[in-house]
Amino acid sequence: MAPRQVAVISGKGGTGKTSICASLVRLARPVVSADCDVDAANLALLLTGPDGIHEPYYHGSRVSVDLRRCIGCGGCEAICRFDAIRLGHTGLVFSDPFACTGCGSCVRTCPEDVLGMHPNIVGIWTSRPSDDGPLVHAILGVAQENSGALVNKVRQRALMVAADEALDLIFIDGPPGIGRPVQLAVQGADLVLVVTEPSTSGDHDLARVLDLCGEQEIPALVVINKADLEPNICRQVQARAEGAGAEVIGKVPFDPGVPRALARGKLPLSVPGVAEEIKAVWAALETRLSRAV
Amino acid sequence: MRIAVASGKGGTGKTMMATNLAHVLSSQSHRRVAYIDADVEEPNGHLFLKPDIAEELRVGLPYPGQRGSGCTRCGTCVEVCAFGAVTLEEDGIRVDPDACRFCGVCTLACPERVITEAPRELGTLSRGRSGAVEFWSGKLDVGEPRAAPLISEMLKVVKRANRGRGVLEFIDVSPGTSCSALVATRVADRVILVTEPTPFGYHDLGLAVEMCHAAGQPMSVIINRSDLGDSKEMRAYLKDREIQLLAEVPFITEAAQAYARQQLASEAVPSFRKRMLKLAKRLGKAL
Repeated sequence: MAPRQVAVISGKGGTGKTSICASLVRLARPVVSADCDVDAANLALLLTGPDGIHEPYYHGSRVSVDLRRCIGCGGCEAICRFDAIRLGHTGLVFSDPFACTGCGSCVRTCPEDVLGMHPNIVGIWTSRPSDDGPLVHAILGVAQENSGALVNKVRQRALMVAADEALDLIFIDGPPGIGRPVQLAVQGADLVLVVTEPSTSGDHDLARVLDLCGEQEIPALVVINKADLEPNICRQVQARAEGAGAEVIGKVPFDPGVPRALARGKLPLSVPGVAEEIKAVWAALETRLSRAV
Repeated sequence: MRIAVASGKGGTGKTMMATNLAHVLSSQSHRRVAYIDADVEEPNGHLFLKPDIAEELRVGLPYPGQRGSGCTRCGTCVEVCAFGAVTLEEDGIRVDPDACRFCGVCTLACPERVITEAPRELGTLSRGRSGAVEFWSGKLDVGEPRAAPLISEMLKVVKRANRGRGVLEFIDVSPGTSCSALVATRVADRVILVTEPTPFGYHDLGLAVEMCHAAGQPMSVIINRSDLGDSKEMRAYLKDREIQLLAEVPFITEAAQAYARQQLASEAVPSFRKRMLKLAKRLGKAL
């Protein structure tokens, strides 16, 4: 039987998605965790263990210059639309790998054939055992495009790990936003859990992610984190969620103990008051998952 | 002078710092100050600055297409496209808008010159004013697959408009260190990284520092909510890397509440305003 998959997303960044996701993983353990927030992968900071081999993930290419043969004509600089290749003070060209898209227009233009292409490493991915079950995670290289290819890689790998270790539940820690990486992180999941907060930006972004879940026909549940910080907006957020057919299964209070616990590498589950509410969230989630089977 | 306000991690207070810094500096100094929202996927700066919008510009880039007859179906365009965006169909070539990166190589390579470019709109750039702050904000059209081309292009438009006016510009950069964040960071003169003293903040700060190094940018750091965690390790890291610590801003419940209610905390909360003024003064010295 295919494992069930729960994607935890937030729309807005900084709502507490990762720390709540890690807490649910601990309550549900052993499960497979898949950190699909490859631009800022943080689950590995809470689910500790030794990483396996770091595998490079290749996609596309970047330009390289053979300076020994460059005549400094500047044709490549004129043709590049990304300011990725420029004539330097020396009269020779240099390329900026962080701006280069690997389109190859400079290579075609160069009269001396001194430009070439080399494979581009988008990022690395790896998996590790942890006390809470295996974790698959990845790190997007600096300035790389987060096209979702690496998100797909992590999800495929998580499914393989689940099959290998006979685990029937995968928690996906999704990226912020509503773009392509988020769409790929929730695609095919059995449930989406949206972790939001009672702020106007949180509310604004909640509406956008619930639309996304609706489009993909995935049932969504909502947790309002730091719920007591702004009771009026909390009610507004709750009404927004319920209006979109997403049940609010938990309201986690704000407690300065949570960031302090995180600073010591401890989960919010170590903070009384917060722990009970997250346990209730897991109970509601578990009921939903068993009903879905 | 362009200052990019960036953060590895989302939700550290980047928008809050950028909007409030622009606000206090515009009321304190005689300098022209601009706030530029380059977080085009989730632009939120307008919620706090509440600008009067004077103008909305559509921003686009040249996009290839087959125009006119004369295509010999030689397939050169398909072959040269590094992104697999061009395909040869029954009735001519087709360009996949999700895959095209606006590089122009197909137009350049077509031996029959039947491929030409016409602008494709990517999003809207709004321009207005919030008190003394000049306000700019980009918004990506829903369905556009990439933010980076719009960000690059809108910042060029702002640069042209502000050339020679001596404006102090604060660019609100999207979170992360992918190409959307880098295209906004690399055009700045200096970067302020906003972080928080949690293991997440610490980890993502490292990535953001790496991004600034890659872009060759000088940087300073603001540790936000500095009392909600242990910033000792972070301070040591910054010292070790010789990165200026611009300020530590403690968690002020009233400021967080003002933020949640869409207010500028530097206007609503005097103690926060004081912090921002001090920060602005230090920033002025650093510049």
